[in-house]
Amino acid sequence: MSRAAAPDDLAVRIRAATEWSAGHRLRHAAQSVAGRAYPRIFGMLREPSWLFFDLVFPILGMAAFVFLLRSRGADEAWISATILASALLTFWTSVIWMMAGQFRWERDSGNLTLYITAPVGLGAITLGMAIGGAVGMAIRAAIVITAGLLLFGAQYSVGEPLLLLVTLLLGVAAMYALGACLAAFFLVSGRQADHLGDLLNEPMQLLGGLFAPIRNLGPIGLVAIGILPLAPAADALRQIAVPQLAASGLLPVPVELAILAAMVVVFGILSRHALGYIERIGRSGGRLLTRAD
Amino acid sequence: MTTNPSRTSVAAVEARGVGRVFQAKGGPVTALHGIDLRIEPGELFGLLGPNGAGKSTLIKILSTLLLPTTGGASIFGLDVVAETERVRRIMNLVAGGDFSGYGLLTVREQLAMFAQFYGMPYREGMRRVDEQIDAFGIREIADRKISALSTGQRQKLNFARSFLNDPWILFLDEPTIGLDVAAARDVRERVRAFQEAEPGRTVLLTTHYMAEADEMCDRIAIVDHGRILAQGTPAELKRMVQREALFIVGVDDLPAGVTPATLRALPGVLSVAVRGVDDDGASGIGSPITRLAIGLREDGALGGVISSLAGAGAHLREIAKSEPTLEEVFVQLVGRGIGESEAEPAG
Amino acid sequence: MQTDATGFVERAPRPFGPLRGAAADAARSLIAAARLAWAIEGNWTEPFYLAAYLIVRPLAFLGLFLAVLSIGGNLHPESIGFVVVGQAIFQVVGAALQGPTQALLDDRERYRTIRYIFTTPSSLLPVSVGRALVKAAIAGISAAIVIGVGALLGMPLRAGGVDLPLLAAVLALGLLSIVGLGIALGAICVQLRNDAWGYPQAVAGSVFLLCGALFPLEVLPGALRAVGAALPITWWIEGVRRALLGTTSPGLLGELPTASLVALLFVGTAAIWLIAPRLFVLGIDRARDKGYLDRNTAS
Repeated sequence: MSRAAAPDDLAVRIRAATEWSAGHRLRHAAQSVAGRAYPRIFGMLREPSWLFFDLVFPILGMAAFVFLLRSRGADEAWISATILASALLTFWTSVIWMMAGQFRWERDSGNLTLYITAPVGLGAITLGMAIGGAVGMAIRAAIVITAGLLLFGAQYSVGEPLLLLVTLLLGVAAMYALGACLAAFFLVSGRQADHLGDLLNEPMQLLGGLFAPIRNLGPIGLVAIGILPLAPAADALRQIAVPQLAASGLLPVPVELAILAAMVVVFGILSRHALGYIERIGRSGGRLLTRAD
Repeated sequence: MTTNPSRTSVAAVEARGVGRVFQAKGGPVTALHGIDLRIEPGELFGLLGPNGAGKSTLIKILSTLLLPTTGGASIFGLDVVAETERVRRIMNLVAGGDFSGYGLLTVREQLAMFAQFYGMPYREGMRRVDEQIDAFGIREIADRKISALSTGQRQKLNFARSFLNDPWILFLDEPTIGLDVAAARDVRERVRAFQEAEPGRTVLLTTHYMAEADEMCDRIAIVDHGRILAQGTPAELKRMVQREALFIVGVDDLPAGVTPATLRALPGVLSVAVRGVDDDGASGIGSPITRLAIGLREDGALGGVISSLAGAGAHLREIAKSEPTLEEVFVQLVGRGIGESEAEPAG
Repeated sequence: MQTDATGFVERAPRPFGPLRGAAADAARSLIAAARLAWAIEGNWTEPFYLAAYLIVRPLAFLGLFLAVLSIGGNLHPESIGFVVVGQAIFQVVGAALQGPTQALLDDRERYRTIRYIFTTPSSLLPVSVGRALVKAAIAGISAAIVIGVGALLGMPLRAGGVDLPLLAAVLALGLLSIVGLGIALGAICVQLRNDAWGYPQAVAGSVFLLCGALFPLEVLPGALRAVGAALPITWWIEGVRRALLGTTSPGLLGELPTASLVALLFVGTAAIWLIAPRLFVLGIDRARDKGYLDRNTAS
């Protein structure tokens, strides 16, 4: 077998192939995000059992709190707030298991190696995961709320739907931005990440003021509302969607929106640095990004 | 296979004193000791060595997965540390025993996703996906979920993915591990076809299968304990162990007047030894066969030996060339078989 | 050693007959499995996670429920006691109910040892029971911590002290009943291909709603109330409340005399253990025949 000698201008051709214009880079970034979001949105719909569990657990949890409230003779407005909180919880659960814990799974399955060696960047991958996860969970959250409306007769009075939508979008964005930071942290943590995921569930529901107003936590509530996206999101959404409970809010809605917007920016920047950091230490240390040989 | 391709000004792969130390609990572990390597464009270069030799570590450094501790490397003149993004645009990687992929996606969807990751315009990407699906003969499973694929099918998918971006440099890290004979052969053929389709395409293959390296590679570097012990074409490496061309010639019987000494006197003959006299039942005749091991300076000298034997009335029964294997080369260089650990005595 | 007519060596004769030998084998397997579970489940070498799972998580749950409870008005000590006891016992219920399934799936998919255990002379039944018992025991530590915290929060104990004989009886019977349910569930879940992990959690979550752990059964709609009233776990929790707090639940359950409650629990537990082992063996045999024992369901 013989091979022709490589053309003299081969190196020139190859170097030219590596130079991408700004437009190419932008298109590539969008493609990468969309590419990674795809399995999240469409792949997840293919597994009916996943859809089943993504709905059963929130509905069971919701029912537990609803019956508990009814056993105490609480105002029905709190039932509506509980159902809203259950829907919001689907996003948080997705952030923990499908964002924070995802890179470990990607590494163990070998996908992370392919992402690192492709010209795609972990930032685009993470953003794709977040968008795909948020879209997937939005469907589930809508189903949970519908179930709540049908099973428990929840009632909402939304005077400002646009405000509600903006709050929801900011809350979800802030949660997923935190999830991106946690993804880097969980990867570094190794097997401990499984434990961390478990530990971030119920304590966060308490500190996030999901099912009981964060105002009741006193100073701890003030700290939590500044750190945990779940807290300002849940508090603001409750005030907007269930106006009868507006007095239960810790801070005014505009302030909580500002906090969420700041979280999106801060966690977004942090995640970018965190992902860069893990790629650097992964390539230097040699163990983080690839599964054990 | 060709002998060394002509040296170009820019190497496809150039490693200059590449060293890699890992920090482990028991102390630092040196996986690579100052590797120097140059692979020309268009070569299919093999790294051959046992598990733990450092082959995968070197490939990880060259494929930008790992940083070297010392030294540097470049791919077509692009530094793997300083110009990582550019390197990733022209390379791809296949690892053996790889179960990457999202089980819920179909083969087509998985390939389409990676087409996006490599920055291909959508239509172009889909065209390339269909092209690779046909090239690898996986059209009938194109719409099957990845979780339902067999090992061989998954590896075909891996290869199809790796060819999507028409890489100038393809890293294959033990690509046929876990594959059956037919699947492994198929993989080797596709790699060859990939290279032949475009001059300049370069492949770096790591393997511990000697036969695979012998069959596929233009040049081979034998690696052990993080060092390159020898490199060259398979023929050059084998000549390190056996400098002469060795032929086994079987005759019914040595005719009168023909002895090892008289044969040794022929031009180009370096050595003659009687390997033995066997009762060769395979011939169906049951007659003895005398085998002579004849060492020649070059293959061309065989003609004189055959003429001499035939002229003396010998009935030739068989002629075979005896070559050392790469395993024998490895044992010669390292002092143990490729599958043996250092603690075990060789043989 | 005795040999048969073909010359094969028979098993050494057992000194007390075949039944005693089988029981000794089962006990040995159960103890070995229990020791394994103690090592795996305890996080004993990682104090942070030990504290987190044994203390932080259960207390976070309790805090969550008490916070919701406070929405309806001031928290009375009786309300705190009701939730504390229910939450504490449900730590054990959840662990024992999910434990056998988790152990089977862990062995099948994570540790890949199930084929090796299955092909020993030992049965998977005592192995599963041993693992479940230890998971329940570890959860029992959490339960005790929750009750301790409840006492600190003002949970009133039974006047005259805790009814220890009643407590011992209901705890023993309740634990047996839930382990029996757990092994039956395990045998069912091992048949499933996808997301077998999720089903025990879903079952535990459903039981949590129905067993009066968090709120009286009277809050539930009629059909669900009837189902809840028929669960041994409901009687168990009611029995523990009576032993610890000296209170009874509102409604029909509270009107049941304590002796009848214990008798019901005994009969229920016996019924479970008549059916569960058979179901387990059937389930494992079916799984073996279908090739489910040795597969990995991860995609």
